[in-house]
Amino acid sequence: MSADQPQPPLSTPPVASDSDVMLVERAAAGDQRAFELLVIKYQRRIQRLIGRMVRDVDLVEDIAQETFIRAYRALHQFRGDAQFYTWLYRIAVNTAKKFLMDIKRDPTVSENSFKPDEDSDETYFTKSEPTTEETPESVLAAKEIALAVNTALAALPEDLRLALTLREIEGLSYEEIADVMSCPIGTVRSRIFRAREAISAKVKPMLEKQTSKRW
Amino acid sequence: MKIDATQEKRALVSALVDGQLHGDAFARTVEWLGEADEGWQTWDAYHVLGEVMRSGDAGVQVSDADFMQRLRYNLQQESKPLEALQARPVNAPQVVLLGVEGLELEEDPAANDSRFRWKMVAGFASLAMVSVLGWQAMGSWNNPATAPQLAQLAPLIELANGEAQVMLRDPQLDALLAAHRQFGGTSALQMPAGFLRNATFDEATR
Repeated sequence: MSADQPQPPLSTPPVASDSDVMLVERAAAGDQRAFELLVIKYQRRIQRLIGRMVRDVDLVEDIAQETFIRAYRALHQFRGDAQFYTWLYRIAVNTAKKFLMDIKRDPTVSENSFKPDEDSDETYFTKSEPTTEETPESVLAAKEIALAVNTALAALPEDLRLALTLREIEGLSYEEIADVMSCPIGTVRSRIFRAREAISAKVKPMLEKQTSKRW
Repeated sequence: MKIDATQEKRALVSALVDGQLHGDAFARTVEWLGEADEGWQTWDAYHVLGEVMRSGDAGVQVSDADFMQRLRYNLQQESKPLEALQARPVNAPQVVLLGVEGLELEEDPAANDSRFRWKMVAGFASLAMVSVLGWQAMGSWNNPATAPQLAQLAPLIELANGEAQVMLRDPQLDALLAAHRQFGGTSALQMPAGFLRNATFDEATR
């Protein structure tokens, strides 16, 4: 992609959460697809969070479903004061706690369904403790995807790799990356896109293989 | 480097992931994402690679399609009552919609329609009762003279000569009570007795 091409309007100052806020606005106005984009974006993080509080894979998915349904109901209450994920995170934790309380009252459910520390958050996660949603197949698939991403990232030209790393890992805005790399913002955007294209070309077949029809 | 239209759209998705799109470009890209499977896959792949770069793994890889299908179903169930509420105001007549192929589609009545009707009847009945009571109360308040008299004191009877009334009793009973004065009144028995009723002796008044 050429940097000389006409570019869509850029935000000033650009922050990633702007997209979330606009998607929330669209979803609150009745555009369910906009909400689904947010679900795709945050589903894994939410399920990983819940997976640290609950063992049962079915329960993890149930709580994640309930979390997104509650979020959908309360979209009009989201003011944009906090990040959308922070808001979603609170809903997920409260939903999981309520599920756990209900489970504890239910004598037919095994205590193995939940973990002892229900106040845990993402910082609680210990790599050595696998969760039940991690089947051998899913663990292998995740490892393969991670390996493919890292391999493709390492094979990128230096300028593309640096641009993507500054964006994804350091969280810099396009303006900040342009300052660091001493190039126009349009070039930053082009480099990040080309880097993503190169990596996703390796990842997409793996994602498609996991489910024959994802959407 | 020449790029095709799809690639250009993916470039917009990349900018959207980073929060760089606004206005028309944002709307067009979101619409494309909603229409094309490739848009969804691109959006998903870009987020997966970002998560891998940040956390080192691809996260929980459950069946996203199943999750999304289930969520879509639940959201549709959620939005049905809301849509019905928005489409039909309270007490509005039944709306008959014409389908695309001329098929008449009649809106289903709400589940609480019958309950609402009963509540409305009960409300009117309560209102009528309050109105009647209020009307009566207002009438008596404004004109007490015309209010119906519900109770009346018994008329006082005075003797024509103004003398005190003297009770006439059996002289033998009086003699008996005088002879057995200690048993007169309730204090002698210390308890009510069914066979002695107000049989006291008061010599001074005789």
